[in-house]
Amino acid sequence: MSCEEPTTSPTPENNITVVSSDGKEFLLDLKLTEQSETLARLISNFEYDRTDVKKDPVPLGNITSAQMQKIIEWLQHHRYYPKWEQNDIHYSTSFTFETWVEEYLNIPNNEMFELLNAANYLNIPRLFSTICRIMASRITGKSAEQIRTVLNIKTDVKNDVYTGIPIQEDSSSSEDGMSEISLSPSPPPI
Amino acid sequence: MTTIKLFSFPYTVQRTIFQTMGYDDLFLISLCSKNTKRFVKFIQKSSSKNIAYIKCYARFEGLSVTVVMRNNEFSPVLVLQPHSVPYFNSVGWQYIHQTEIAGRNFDVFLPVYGEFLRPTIFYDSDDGEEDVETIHSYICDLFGYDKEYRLEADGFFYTEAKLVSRLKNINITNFGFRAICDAEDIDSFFSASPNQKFVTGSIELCGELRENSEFYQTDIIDIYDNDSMTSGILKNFNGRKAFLSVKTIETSDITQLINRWKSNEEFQNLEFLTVQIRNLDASFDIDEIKSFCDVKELDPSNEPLVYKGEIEFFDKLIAEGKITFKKPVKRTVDADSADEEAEKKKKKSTPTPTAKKGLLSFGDDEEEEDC
Repeated sequence: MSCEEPTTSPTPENNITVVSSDGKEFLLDLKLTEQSETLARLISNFEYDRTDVKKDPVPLGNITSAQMQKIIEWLQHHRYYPKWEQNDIHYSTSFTFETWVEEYLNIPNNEMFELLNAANYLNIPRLFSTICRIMASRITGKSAEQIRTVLNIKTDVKNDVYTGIPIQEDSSSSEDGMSEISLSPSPPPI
Repeated sequence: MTTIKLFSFPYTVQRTIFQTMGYDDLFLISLCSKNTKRFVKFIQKSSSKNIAYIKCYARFEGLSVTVVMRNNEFSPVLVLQPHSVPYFNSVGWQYIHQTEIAGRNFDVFLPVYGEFLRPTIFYDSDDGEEDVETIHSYICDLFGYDKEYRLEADGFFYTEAKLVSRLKNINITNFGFRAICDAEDIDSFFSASPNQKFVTGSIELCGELRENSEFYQTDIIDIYDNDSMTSGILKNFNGRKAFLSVKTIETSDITQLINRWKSNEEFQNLEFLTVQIRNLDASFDIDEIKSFCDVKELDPSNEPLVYKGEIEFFDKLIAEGKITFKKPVKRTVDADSADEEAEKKKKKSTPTPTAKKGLLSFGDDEEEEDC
């Protein structure tokens, strides 16, 4: 998907300032914030889209300046894209990423996790689901044993039949024990 | 290999990642530990509305399982094949992974290229039915017993019927066996998956189904028979609709069916039955059927009554006003409600004090003005 980007001159009236956790300020176009449900709701609540309202800087205590920079890059690229449809998120047999997205997300795992958390916090559905798809693609196509290694899961299998070597048992696999997997929608760990 | 701390993420993130995966991957993840299986089941429940049905397809001594979604997309889950050393040699032993499924060990092959990259699980040829039953039960447990499971058996060999003979929870079956099947296997299959909604296809049996076979409890059947099932169906069918295509038919089978149906002795559920005879040379004695079933033929000279003209006649009378309809008269039992209505009318007619302007008032201003 590609969209032509018309040139617009940013004016102070249609900008807001966001402050990252390390104190760096970013000037954000209001048009860009439409992609983030969290920011869009905040702007709507404080009526920052009106020119006669004084706009205080918005502190984003959960997002570092590096993450914010990366997110602004994403928002800029998808500025004129149509609104994200929620049902696009489900499994599809034919799903490909555009080259820009592949390059954008060609980052180490730990950076991607931080970006995922930031996308979840700011509620940017397109970025969030794209990272989820990329992460899913890093798990898929592997055997159960390889998935165990990737997800760092201990097994319940008693022993390897070929080698006869006992495999470490999953200590958290009791009927009510769910220590590995959290089912509660807790806030993202920062 | 870098690890992904997937389970330290919030549930929303975990769920979204799992929802973007194919069902083959979810199946493999469920094999990792009891917790992952529980989690995949949990995810399934929250997104189960996307699944239309789960299709099991038996062919070439194997069985494939596919999830068919409501948007008509499908996601392959797995393929079951007989254990084969030459096959292992051809694909490479390094790609065969020993995996425990429901307490039994299976060899699993993960193809790295091809149109449908789904895990292939190898069953032991000696314990084929048991292995297939184990995997199918695991799938039912994973996706839920409330889903619709369909079996399509398109076998060239006798073994396919045997292979599916223990599959449980099947709702719709489509048989397409080219080989003669053992009636015992078919009986066994319908005992494992009783009260099916719909059974169709062609089938030729060696032996006969039991009189109390669960096959006869199927709601609707559409069978292309080769003279091995028709007699049994006409005697024992207990469903609603039967569509049969047969080579030949015995007169005695027809007469006993009609007599028992007429007497309401059997076939209480039967709504519709059609028997199509494919063999043009085959015939049955119609006079024998008539006499056995006490069929009386109408005299062709006596024309049956036609009601069409009468309806038109009455329509004309109504249009001309010769027939009129009276308004319903109030009965004595309605007296109480009539009194209530009268009281309501009284209340309406009495003027209500108007609210002072400037104070809080409720209700419709126009109504107040009317009063």
